[in-house]
Amino acid sequence: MASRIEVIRKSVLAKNDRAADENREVLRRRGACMMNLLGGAGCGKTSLLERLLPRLAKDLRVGVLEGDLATTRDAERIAAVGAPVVQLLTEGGCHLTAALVRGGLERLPVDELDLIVVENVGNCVCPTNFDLGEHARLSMLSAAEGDDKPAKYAHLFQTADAVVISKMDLAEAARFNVDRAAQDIRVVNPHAPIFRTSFTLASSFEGLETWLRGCIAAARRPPGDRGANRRVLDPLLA
Amino acid sequence: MHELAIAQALAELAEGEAVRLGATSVLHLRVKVGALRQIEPEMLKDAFDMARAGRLAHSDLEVSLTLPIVRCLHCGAEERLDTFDTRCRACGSTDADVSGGDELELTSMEFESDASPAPGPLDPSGGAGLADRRRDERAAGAQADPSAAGDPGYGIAH
Ligand SMILES: Nc1nc2c(ncn2[C@@H]2O[C@H](COP(=O)(O)OP(=O)(O)O)[C@@H](O)[C@H]2O)c(=O)[nH]1
Ligand SMILES: [Mg+2]
Ligand SMILES: [Zn+2]
Repeated sequence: MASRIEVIRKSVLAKNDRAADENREVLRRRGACMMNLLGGAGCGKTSLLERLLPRLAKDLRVGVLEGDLATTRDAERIAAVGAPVVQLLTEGGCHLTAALVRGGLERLPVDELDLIVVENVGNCVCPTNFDLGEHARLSMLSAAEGDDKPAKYAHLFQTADAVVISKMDLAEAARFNVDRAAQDIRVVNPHAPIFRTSFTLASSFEGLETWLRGCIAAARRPPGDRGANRRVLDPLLA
Repeated sequence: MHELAIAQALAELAEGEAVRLGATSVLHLRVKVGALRQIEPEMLKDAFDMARAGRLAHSDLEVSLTLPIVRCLHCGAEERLDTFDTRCRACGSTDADVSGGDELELTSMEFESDASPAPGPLDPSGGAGLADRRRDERAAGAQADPSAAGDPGYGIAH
């Protein structure tokens, strides 16, 4: 019996990455944009969509894939604001995979949609490694979680195309130092715009809405043109 | 927890490679993990012990950590970083491009086989993951991909 060494050089996540590329191709053919929304459990992902979707619905068609370990509660909340939604259950899995998202896309009327938002499983670590085929990754942190989190969950913010700091209405009570959080985000991600939101202040969603509209427009443009939206509209940098 | 998902993906990939290469038993696997992934090498090894089966049942895992290269867009200084701090050491600018440091790659495999079958064509897309895509999207400065240079020398062995 012979023993030998073979050079492999393949991504450990090659299978997921291939499925993600297929998703991207499906979306590209239909001119639809997909956004992956990531953040810890309870950081306000579903609440953000409840505020954002009605604003976009004025002139755009948006569908949602809701990732969760269990229950269809978030999907019910999204359906209540009138968006087509599919609940994806990971049955214990701590992140969505591109294959799960593919199944969800097949159940959405993608041809009619401008934007598909994927709410990932509430988790600051695992979902960051799994490309879903999205055009844009929105990473979220709430003021209630503490301003030390960007340094602790660096990959979440390093891979983000934009960052939301939510629950700013709680910042004072939670002694959340937004400058410190923003600085730590900048350290790992110098370019992503950082938006501060609070569901008590409707106007706090404006910047995010504009950014998202830019992503949707970019997804309709030919490839190569993408990412043009990256550096604009950073209220913290302005 | 996330090391387990990675370990399962690794076991699945390695099993497929073992079949492709006609391996009867895999002895040793080498993976390259970028520091930005926040994957703890010891945790990954423990998780792999739980995930391995079949041809991998007796394999051991070697993890090398790779560090990101940060290029300052202000002064052009380049540096390999061992922290998440991308501030330029030379000029203090935070305007930087990060490349590499997010690899997650099965680099090689040592195994026993009965015969020596002709290895199939290498999958050209196999190594191109999220990291590569994000690099592509950052378009502009077409710099060399450090993970494609076949340079295992800078890894920190664990
Ligand atoms: N004070 C405050 N609470 C919020 C805000 N956004 C969300 N929440 C609350 O945070 C909790 C978790 O929100 P949810 O949207 O379900 O978080 P998810 O798990 O990330 O989807 C709920 O009780 C929300 O009412 C906000 O801007 N301010
Ligand atoms: Mg939710
Ligand atoms: Zn510099």
